[in-house]
Parts: sequence; structure tokens; C-alpha cells
Amino acid sequence: MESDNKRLIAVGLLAFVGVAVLVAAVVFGFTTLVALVTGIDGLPQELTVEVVGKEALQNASVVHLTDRDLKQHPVLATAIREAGSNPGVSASVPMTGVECLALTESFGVYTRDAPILEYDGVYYSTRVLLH
Amino acid sequence: MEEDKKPGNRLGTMGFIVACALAGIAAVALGLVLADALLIYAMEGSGGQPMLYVMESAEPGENVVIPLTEKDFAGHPALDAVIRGDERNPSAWEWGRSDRRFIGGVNVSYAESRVLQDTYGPDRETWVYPHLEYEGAYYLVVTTWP
Repeated sequence: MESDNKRLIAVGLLAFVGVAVLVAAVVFGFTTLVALVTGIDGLPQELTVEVVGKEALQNASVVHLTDRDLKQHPVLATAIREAGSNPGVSASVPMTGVECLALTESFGVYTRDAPILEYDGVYYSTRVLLH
Repeated sequence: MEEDKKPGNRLGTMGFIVACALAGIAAVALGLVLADALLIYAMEGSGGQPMLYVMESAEPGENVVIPLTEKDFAGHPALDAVIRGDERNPSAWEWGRSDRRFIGGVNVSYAESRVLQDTYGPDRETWVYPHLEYEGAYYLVVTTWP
């Protein structure tokens, strides 16, 4: 009888741990899969920056970027770094919807008349691609 | 077989079933907590840069207004830094929506991003963001989870 009780407790404990691990594995796997397919912050978007010459500044607003701006917008910093400083070169970087919102409210990247951004003497036009 | 029909044994069986059900619920809850901790751990190691962004809204509109207190700032130093500290970097009102502007942003950990989202993020049913009021200005808190 005592041996039966011990066996029952052991089986119960194993079942408890098994259920906990199974639930954790299923939730973790499902969340990871969803994140890989759609992105955690929604469908991915893409920021494209292109180095432009001074002729593109006609009738366009210019926003002068500071180091703090780039620190606060890592997506923009990456795109500008990848685009470099040669006119005509562009770079695209994926971003989340929230990052797009922050960039739009800061520099109007996702607006009809998006301003030209200037950093370190180089001018950049921006474009947002929705997937 | 006859013994099972005794009231004492039936009560014991019922108790056993209830105990199993409770243990099952506890195991599922533990599993959910474990999955959450595992996700945070995996994300922290992914090299991503979650950000806290704060926007200012000209008017609160119909949204719920939550006054920010010193306790909020003490509990969330990142929020303090963006709203009234070194990370405050307000943009012009003219970009994006004219009644909203960017106030600032700072890199936070995934765990902080989750806590800020749970505390100041949108209502889980309506997905409407509350407005946080501080010194007459209304703020929206958004976080990224890259």
C-alpha cells in the first residue's frame, strides 16, 4: 500500500513536470513561429534611404540630424551607415511599425512630401516600403 | 467493487480528481510562466535593440488619462529620462500627424520593454492607448520588440 502511494506520488510529480514543460514548449514554439512569419510588432516594413545631391534640395524641407537623433532611431542610423556618402547609392533596412511611426513623427519619412535628411554634410531622401 | 460504493471511498475519489485538476491547472500556469521567461531570455540573447519611444499628443481626446507621478518616474528610469531627462529630444509638430510629435527614445531591455508596454500600453480589448499626463502635457508610450 505504501509502495503504491509512493508510485502514485512519483507518477503525479512526473505528470506535473511533463505538463508544465509541454505547455512551455508549445507556447514558446508557437510564439516563435508567429514572430518569424509576421514579426512581433506586426508585418515588417522597410526604410530606404538614398544619397542625393544638392539639386534635390530645391523646394524640399531639410531636417538636420544630430548624433542623438541617430542614437534614438537605430534603424535610420543603420540605413545611413549602409548608404554611405556617394550620390545615387541607397540602402534598405527592415523596421517595425512602431519604428516607422517614430520616424514619421520625428522626420516625416512616411509622408507625401518627406523632407530631405542631412547628416554630416550628406543629404538623404527617404522612402518607406510596406510588405 | 462493493467497497467503491461506500460514501467514504467516493469522497476520496472525488478529492483525488479535484486535486489532479488543480495540479493540472497549476502545471499549465507554470508552463506559461516558463514559456514567457524563456522568450525573454531568448530575445535578450538575440542582439536586438528594443526601444522605448514617447510621443506627445496635443489633446487627450476621448482617451483615458493617467497622471504620471514621481513613483512612475522612480519605477521606470527610462521613462523619466525621455520625458524630463537627457533623452528628451522633441521634434517639430509639422511631421506626421500635426497633433502629435516625437519626444524622445531610449534603448531598453526586452524585459523593460514588456513591463512598459504592460503598464502604459494600449488596453488589451480596445487597443486604445492611454494618455499619460505630466505638467499639462499628454504623452503616449510605445515600445519596440525587434
